[in-house]
Amino acid sequence: MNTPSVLSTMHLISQLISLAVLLQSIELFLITRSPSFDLIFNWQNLKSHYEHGPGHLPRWWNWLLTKSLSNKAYPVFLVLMGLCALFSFVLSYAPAFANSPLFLPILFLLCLLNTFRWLGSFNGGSDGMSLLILASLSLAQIFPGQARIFLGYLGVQSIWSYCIAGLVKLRNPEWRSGSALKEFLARHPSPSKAVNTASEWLQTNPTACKSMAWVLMGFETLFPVGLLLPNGILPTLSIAVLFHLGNFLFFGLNRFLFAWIASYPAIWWLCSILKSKLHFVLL
Amino acid sequence: MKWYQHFRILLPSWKFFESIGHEPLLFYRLGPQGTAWVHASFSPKKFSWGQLIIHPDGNLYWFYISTLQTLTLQILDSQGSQGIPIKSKTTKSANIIQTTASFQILKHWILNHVKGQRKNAPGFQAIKNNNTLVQMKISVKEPDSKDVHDLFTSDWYSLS
Repeated sequence: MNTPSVLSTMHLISQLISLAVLLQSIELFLITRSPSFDLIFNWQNLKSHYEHGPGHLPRWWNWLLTKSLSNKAYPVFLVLMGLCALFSFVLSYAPAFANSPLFLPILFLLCLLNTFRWLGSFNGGSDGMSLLILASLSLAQIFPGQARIFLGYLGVQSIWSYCIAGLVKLRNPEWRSGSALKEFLARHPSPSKAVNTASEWLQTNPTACKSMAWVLMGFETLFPVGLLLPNGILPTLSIAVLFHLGNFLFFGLNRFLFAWIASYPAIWWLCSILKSKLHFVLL
Repeated sequence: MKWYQHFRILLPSWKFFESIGHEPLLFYRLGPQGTAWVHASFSPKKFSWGQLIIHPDGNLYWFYISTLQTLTLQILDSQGSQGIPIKSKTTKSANIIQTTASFQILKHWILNHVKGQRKNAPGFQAIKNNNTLVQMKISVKEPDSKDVHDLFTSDWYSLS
């Protein structure tokens, strides 16, 4: 199997993460359009979360937060974030701008600032993965000589994200018995009738629920093994996409799909290198 | 908390759905007469494939869940090891909890929800003017059981 080049991998990741952040910006902008947004998510109230106590933020950071995240400024901030993501995507097709450290470092800072509008994060893991990709890629663009290190780090983190999620579940007896999955399904009913019927069927069939829990744990834990099998990258990543689609259907977690897909080129690149090295050693 | 700990999002743990734990629940009731407690759930009611691309309601729901979890942890921290439910106006910790950003978000979320409900829902016909009061209660449900324990009851808040 041919190993994709570092530059083409970075190029593809930058396009995918730009699209993911563009969708996130549109989603948040739509939320700010709700008449009750300024009341529920009033910046004066949220700011108090950072201002009080011994661990308050430095004055310059506080100033930056207020200037960009106040009730009035926030919709404009989101438009800027969306435009930055759009430019990053479109200009990645121009050879002069492809992989130049222009928009992604800015996008990273904007996404980081945005987490402060939501008491640390709006959508937990997907915010974390988006920031990780933006940080790794920005560093790879700023220091092209070390791009392999940053791409490798991103690939390892993305693979680890599946594996550790499976390992912590395996350690938990509630997951091994299937009761944890049953409880999660019961707590978060899906708005889709068909999915809810499937969810209720799983909840009333302990054997099926336990089997499903083991399939999930098996997939997550063995994710790195699947990638290293001969011709295993594409099938493993395809199953991962189905896994995220399932999370969307059952729990409405749409952002995870796009954030994780954006990291797949790094996984592909890393596994291709590992496999070629492994092949060389075995020969 | 040191200021740089606010950047912990940069080091995600990836331990998704690690354990089930207690389920935090938010209830509210109307006053001043004090109606029955109503469970506040904001899970999306409609499904479409377009939500795969843009899903503001679904993501707001998860933000609501995480804010409720944060508030529950803050309440449990303030209770210490005694685990005694906190009632409004009885302790200093009740006042502290009600000034937290997470409580304020949930309070306005509920007040806004009640205002939106008053015309349509049958249980809200009592609301005739803005003098109606709203009280909130945070409880936790044991996993795999119907036992619900009250943790915190707020002050009464005016709808106006």
